[in-house]
Amino acid sequence: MTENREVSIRVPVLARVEGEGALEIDIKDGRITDLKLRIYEPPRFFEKFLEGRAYHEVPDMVARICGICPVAYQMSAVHALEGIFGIDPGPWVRAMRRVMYCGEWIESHCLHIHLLAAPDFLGYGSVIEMARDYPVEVRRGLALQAIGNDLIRLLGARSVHPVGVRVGGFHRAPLPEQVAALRERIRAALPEASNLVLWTAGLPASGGEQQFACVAMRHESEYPMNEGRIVSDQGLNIAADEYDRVFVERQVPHSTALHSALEGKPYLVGPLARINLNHDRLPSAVQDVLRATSVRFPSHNLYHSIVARAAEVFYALREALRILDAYVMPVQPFAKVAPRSGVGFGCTEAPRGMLWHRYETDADGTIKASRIVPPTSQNQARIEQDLRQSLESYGLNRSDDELRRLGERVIRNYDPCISCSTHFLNLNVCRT
Amino acid sequence: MSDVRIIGIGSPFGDDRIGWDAVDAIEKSGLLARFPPGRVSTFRCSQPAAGLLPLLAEADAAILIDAIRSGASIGTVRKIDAGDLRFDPGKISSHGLSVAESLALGRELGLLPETVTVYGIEIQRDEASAGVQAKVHAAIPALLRAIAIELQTMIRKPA
Repeated sequence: MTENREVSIRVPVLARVEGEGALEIDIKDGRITDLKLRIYEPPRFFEKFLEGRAYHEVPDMVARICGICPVAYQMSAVHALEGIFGIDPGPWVRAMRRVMYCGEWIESHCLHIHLLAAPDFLGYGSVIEMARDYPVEVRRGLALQAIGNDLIRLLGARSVHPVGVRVGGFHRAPLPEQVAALRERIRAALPEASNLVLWTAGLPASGGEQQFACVAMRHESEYPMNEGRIVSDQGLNIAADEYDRVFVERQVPHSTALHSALEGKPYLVGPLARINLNHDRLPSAVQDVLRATSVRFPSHNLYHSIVARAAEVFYALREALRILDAYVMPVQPFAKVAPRSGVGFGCTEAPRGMLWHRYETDADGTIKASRIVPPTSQNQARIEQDLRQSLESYGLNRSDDELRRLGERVIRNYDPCISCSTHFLNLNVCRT
Repeated sequence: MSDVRIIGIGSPFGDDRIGWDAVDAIEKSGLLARFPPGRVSTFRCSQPAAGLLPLLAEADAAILIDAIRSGASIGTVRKIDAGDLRFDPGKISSHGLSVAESLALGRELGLLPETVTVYGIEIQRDEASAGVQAKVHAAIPALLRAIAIELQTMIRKPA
């Protein structure tokens, strides 16, 4: 019998995730005795880098935290700083920030769906193998991703580490002809995005429902991006400045990313949590496409995350088009900034989930302190919880290879971005 | 042949910048003026995952210039057959789809132009530093000569 075997599975380098992580599972007498998602990428000390820097340097600095979701870091930062300085950048800036964020959701989700997740669902080792049998789908994914990049470039001047964002708005406004050209490409891509939703919903989604809390932002009328309250499906409803009152971050010896907990328990952030809490905020065209599938939200099957991502790609294209259809050049693409001392909070929905920032400034706008809580560190405890449940229900008597493959697949499904490890950890952290 | 693209791949970090610097040098050299307007264009690419495949998909031929580390002496220019580039498909990530992986994916999808030539310039370091070392930069004249010949072959009717 395999019931009594002692198994130790080590995946020293996780493939197809962002950054450097590892998985360790110990099984004894048919039970998991230890399971660790180890994140060993060196912490990047961004919170400390920001101390002593001028407020206007922050958008360009935080864009460097992540090559895939720089806009999210810029958005949470400028909202927090504008909160301190008492600035309302007005409707043009608000709308263009939403367009830029749409671009980031589109490119990040398309990359994850096609390069990282779909090969798992279809049983391929990589997107290159998958492309032999699914060339149309991969080409479609890359074409949609390119539109996302171009939306970021429209406002950020470049798609990787964009430089167009400033506290108060944007350094320059796009020209109407640039907007018009992109608008037509988006319009032409809408049927493709709709097909993407149908395709992801038809992928074989093994794994059942799990119990977990979903946390996302919620806006009074919109699908959430830059504004809203922080809510959960278990009754939480707070403003961004109350985050510290209910969420607790703690160090764990096996990871350089902090673990987050809500009332002592793991929770989920990201596209699945977001759509679970906000599906009623999706426009009817997106809801109709989802209704044509067998997937229903809210869903507690984590493998429906890929459908949530596809639905958000479709939504973001429509939303960007809706805003750009009414585009006019502003008199000035930013509001003037007069710095002052204070404490401010910014919470926005990064592609991978809620991204919370806190800044403290001097009277001249110098950063005295900063805190950045990225989505992956919030999901880390949830990923470990999912791994335990998924592996136990799969059957611990499976071969080591089968267990390792499932473990990797569970982790990748969260689209963890381990590179976005921003915290300053004490150097005497005990590592096991 | 209507559109040849010269694409410099790099980052702002140390010697890895050589791909961008090489494209700067090509633009300043007057080389492009030897061909009909619009036939040859130059691009800079900072992250292959995001930018390389769309650039290649719209080209009729492409010349890539990138920093390499193969063990040769610093500043060596090597012409590499795109098919010879090796990669580990298990290591693909959306943050770092490499040149080799992008080309392999593009080949599977039929997105690559018929001719893709890669020129590698041997570098020493890719960490953050003030810029490209002089002995890496010294490769540029030889690279320009090689690319001039390459373009003559690609575009048989120079202006």
